[in-house]
Amino acid sequence: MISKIAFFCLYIFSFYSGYSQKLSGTVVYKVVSASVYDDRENDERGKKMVEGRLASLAKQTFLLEFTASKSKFVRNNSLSINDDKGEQLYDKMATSYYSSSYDYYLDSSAGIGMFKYSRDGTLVTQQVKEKEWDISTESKKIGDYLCYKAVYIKKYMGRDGNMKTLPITAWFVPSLPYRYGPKQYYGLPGLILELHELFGVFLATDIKIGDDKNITIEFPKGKTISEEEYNARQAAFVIKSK
Amino acid sequence: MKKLVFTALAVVAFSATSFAETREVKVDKILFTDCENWAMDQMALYDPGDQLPPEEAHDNYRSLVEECDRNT
Repeated sequence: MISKIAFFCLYIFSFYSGYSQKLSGTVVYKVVSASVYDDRENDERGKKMVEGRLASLAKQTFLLEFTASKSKFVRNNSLSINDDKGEQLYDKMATSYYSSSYDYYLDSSAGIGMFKYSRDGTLVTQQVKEKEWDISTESKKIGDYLCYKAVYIKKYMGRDGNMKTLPITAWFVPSLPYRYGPKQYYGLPGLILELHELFGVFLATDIKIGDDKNITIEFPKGKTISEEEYNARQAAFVIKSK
Repeated sequence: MKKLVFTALAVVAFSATSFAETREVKVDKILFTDCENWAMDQMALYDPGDQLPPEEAHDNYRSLVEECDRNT
């Protein structure tokens, strides 16, 4: 009798231990264009450029991996390995749909984030702050998940050198209580399944939650610069283009 | 007499050049190639509010110029 009770307690203990370790997962995202500019006035060469960019965008996917306190968001496939120069240029131009070409690493327990820019491998560190999301009661279904809307106002420098504000709209699912999402957008009380930013919309297409102990998230190694130094570099690009 | 006339003429000729004005010509406009002009029009069409980050916009612009040059 005592052995049966002991075995039952051991079984319950191992069950809850296993459940508490289910704090890892992967999400695959694709990006679709949110552009609403009028293409009717564009010339044929311009229209061809847009078609090429959109075709390249359709091939690109992104992978979010996360554990209890860390996450990593990377482009799932490298830029076109096609030797065709035109295809490579379309790949570069397609990055404008998701506003920048970088991987993002987050260590929420240490309060550190890191951008790795694919343009030249620049590593930019940032002190992670809680984002001020404005969560609404507006909801919609995404697949089988009931999602709620949240908006975050992002401040950044635009290409004219002026500071801009941009509303980032996210749809998150509370039933998946993981505070992660595409790029550096985190901190909501649920996984982000859809995110609108400037000219692109990230859409989750495949979600896997489990206790995969094989997910290890390591920050890239190398020389890093601060966000302030990176912003100063942005200003230099504004001067160059004027 | 001939030498006097020649000398007088030479003096007049050389003194005339000293009255010539020299002007510095400034170029006020930077001339762009057709592809650079076209790329700038594309950027204005695609991003009329200048919302793209500077480095991203620069990369886009250069890619547009490069693609245009390839097809010209």
